[in-house]
Amino acid sequence: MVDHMSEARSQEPLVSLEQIQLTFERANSLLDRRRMRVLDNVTLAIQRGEILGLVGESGSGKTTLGKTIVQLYRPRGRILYGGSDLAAMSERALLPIRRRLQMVFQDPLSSFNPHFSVGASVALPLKLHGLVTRENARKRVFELLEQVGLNADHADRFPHELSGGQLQRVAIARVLGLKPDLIVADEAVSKLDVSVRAQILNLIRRANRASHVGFVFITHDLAVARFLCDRIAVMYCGRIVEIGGTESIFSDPHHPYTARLINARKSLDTVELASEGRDPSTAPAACSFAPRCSRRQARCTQEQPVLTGNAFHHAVACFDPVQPSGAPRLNDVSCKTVA
Amino acid sequence: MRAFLKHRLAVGGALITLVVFGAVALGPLLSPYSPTEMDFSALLAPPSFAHPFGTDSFGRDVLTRVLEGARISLCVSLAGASAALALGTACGLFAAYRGGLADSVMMRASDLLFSFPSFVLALFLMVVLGFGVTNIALAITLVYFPIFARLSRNLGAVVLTEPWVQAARLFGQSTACILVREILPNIAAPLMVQATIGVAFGIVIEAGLSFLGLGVQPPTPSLGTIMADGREYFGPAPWVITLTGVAISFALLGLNLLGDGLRDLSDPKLRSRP
Amino acid sequence: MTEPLLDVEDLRVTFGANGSVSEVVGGVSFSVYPGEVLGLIGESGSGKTVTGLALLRLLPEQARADARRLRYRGRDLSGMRGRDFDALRGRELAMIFQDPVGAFNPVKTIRWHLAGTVAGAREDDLARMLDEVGIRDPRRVLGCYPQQLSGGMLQRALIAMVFALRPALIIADEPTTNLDNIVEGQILALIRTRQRELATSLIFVTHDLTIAHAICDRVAVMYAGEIVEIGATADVIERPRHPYTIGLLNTARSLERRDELLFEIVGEPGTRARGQACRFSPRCPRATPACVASHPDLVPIFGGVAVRCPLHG
Repeated sequence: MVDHMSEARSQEPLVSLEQIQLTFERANSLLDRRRMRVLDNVTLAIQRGEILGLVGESGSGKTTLGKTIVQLYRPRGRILYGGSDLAAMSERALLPIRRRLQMVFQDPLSSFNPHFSVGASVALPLKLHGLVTRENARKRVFELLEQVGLNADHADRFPHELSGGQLQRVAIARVLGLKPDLIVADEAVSKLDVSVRAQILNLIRRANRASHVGFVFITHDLAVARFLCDRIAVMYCGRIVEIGGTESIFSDPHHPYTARLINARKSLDTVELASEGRDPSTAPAACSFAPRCSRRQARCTQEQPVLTGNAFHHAVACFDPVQPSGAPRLNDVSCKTVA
Repeated sequence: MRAFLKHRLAVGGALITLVVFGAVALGPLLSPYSPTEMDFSALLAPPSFAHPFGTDSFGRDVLTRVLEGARISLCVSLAGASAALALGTACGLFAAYRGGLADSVMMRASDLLFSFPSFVLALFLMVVLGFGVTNIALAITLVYFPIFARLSRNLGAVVLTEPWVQAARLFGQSTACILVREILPNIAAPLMVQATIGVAFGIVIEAGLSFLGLGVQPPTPSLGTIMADGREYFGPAPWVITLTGVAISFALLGLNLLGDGLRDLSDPKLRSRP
Repeated sequence: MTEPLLDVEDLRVTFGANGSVSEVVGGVSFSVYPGEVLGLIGESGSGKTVTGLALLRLLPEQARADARRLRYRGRDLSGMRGRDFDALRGRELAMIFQDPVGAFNPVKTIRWHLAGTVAGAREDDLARMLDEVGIRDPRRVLGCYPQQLSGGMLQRALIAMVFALRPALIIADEPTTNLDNIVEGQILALIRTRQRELATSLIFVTHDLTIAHAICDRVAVMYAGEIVEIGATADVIERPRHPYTIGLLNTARSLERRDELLFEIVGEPGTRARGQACRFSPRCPRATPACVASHPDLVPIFGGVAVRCPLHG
């Protein structure tokens, strides 16, 4: 895995997000409109062929970030891909690019139109992008299904006739057929049984190794993230608070939140996190994690920390990161983020 | 299909509706009388074997007139309801997809139309547009348009949040393709139910308008005009208006039962398939 | 040996619709002792959730349940009248569901829900109940409606309610599956703490071996509606015998080890052999002709461990 990473690092990023902001407006009534800053100044570079994990609790913005990468949400900021800024492009201009940035959803059953057979649903995108003709469409669908471990009979089944695991395989087949550069997998295995999860994770890994298609793997399950991902980005309240190589993050977490996340699963005698749920509508000029942080200092409530360090090794946004004893404090390093 | 056949109400409704359609389609052809043929020797004759519904004040066979009138009624309300379904659904889906201003404008316009009691609105339209069969159909369309628009917009808005629609956007499907392929089939059932109700109401509106003299003009028979005639001489010949009313009720019963049945069947919990 | 609190023998549940009947739970037997936590582990199609629902008579209309013996504190449950069972269900038998939302009335406040469980409780008592389950600012939460709270907070409130009843037996059906890692850890710790404090018996339904390992005293692994292995947690998880249990553990371990490719159990969960054969045989890497010839019984091996597999006695 180390070689894979160093090779990736030396290339131009596949997708580069710069200062991404996304605000949702929720109208409780005509007069009370709450604006929630769902993504707050996110900067992230995704390398070709890597599997990047996005972890965090619900509300952290990881799913939203995933959907923003594939342009289901249009944010403020820049998203560079293939030399163009996706965020500035019109819907129409985006159409030919759409094929390269794809997504697999959390609930396999609702990612298929119940009125059509799964074979038809796999064929449609292929036809739309001119990748098959009417004659060879069926054959290509069979090929794709076999590639994911299903067989030709499954093509004529309807979504409700297949199990969650089988459907998720079809979803992956459908997406792989387009030969994308990047697939965002949004909690793609969370709703699956344990044994099926293993099958799908293996499938993803094989696809990545074979065709170098990159993945952004969104999950709240750290064990899975650790197994699958080359790099991990930890999100909290719409910001990336820590990012780096998987092993580095897991063996040596710097951000207090990351440390809590990692220890939460290890033992069940966890320390209670002070309060649950914070209000993302307040635009903090302060670290969003401060209210729950045991290492909180004065500075944390006055300034928002930025990601500092090398995002391919280890970078963290914190004024007083957790350090293994003896190591120098990270915030002495003067270089800003090299995302 | 199997599930449909098991639902007694739906089957009953379908059968009644079929009987009505059949009688209406074939009756005037099979009847020995013409709807306008007058027989002065049998004025206001009570129901008999020769005249099952009796005759009216001009000696015309009421049954034949009722069937002919029903045919016109059904055609008009089917036309009106279909147009309302097509236009309303198109507008509603468009509003749901676009959201924002287009959505608000369309919904407020629908609300405006919807705020008038349906019959009053139809009356007003007839006065403005003038009498005649096509205008009745138009009135029915306008009265029913907001219901379909609102229904399809609300149903469509829900389906739009489904992951398979988001996936369709990611695959680069055009708006039209998404509306027709991804959304429409999944909202069709409640719309069809509403359509059967629409036809039923259309019949009532048409009959009502004609009754008031604002719809189909004599001597063309219409359920409404027959009843208007029958009202005048209710004393000596109550069967005219009564039997005509019964015939209308029978048709409406069939349509409503059919609609109820379709609504029950579109409830996913009753589907036997796992 | 103490008397079991709950004694189940040969529980069967069938779902029938329009002439086709399928057996979802086929002959499940186990006992739950006072103060112990029994885990029911399985994936989709194992019948673990249906077992829990059957015990509390919460099955949908088209399901039929019956058992050769179903005793709670020595009393026969199957023959009990509806009214008597309802009284029992509210007071001594309780359930924590996977999705807490369904357990709350959306037009009533949390205060109303909590007050309904404990007669004569004052505001202070209710606030303390919420505080005990780790909800900060309990007085504010008391005034909230269910839809204003996150999944984790609702689950905590539900736990507060359930434990306030001081039931003798709680069935928890995957109570943390929908929650995030952090919150999950906290809820599990909470359940375990309260369970120990009140010495409540707990049947914990889950698909996650790690959780079962941490919380349960004994575990029963279920496949295709049957128990295939049952025994003390330490025995079953550290020295599994049934190939399915071994498969589940291998998958978990290969994830921990971060192998290049994870260990896979071949086939789909819930796949079962028809007729007289071991139901797991189509997916079993160690299947022999003996496995297909006859349906194996659940056989005690030693020290409370029983296995349903011809390869083990």
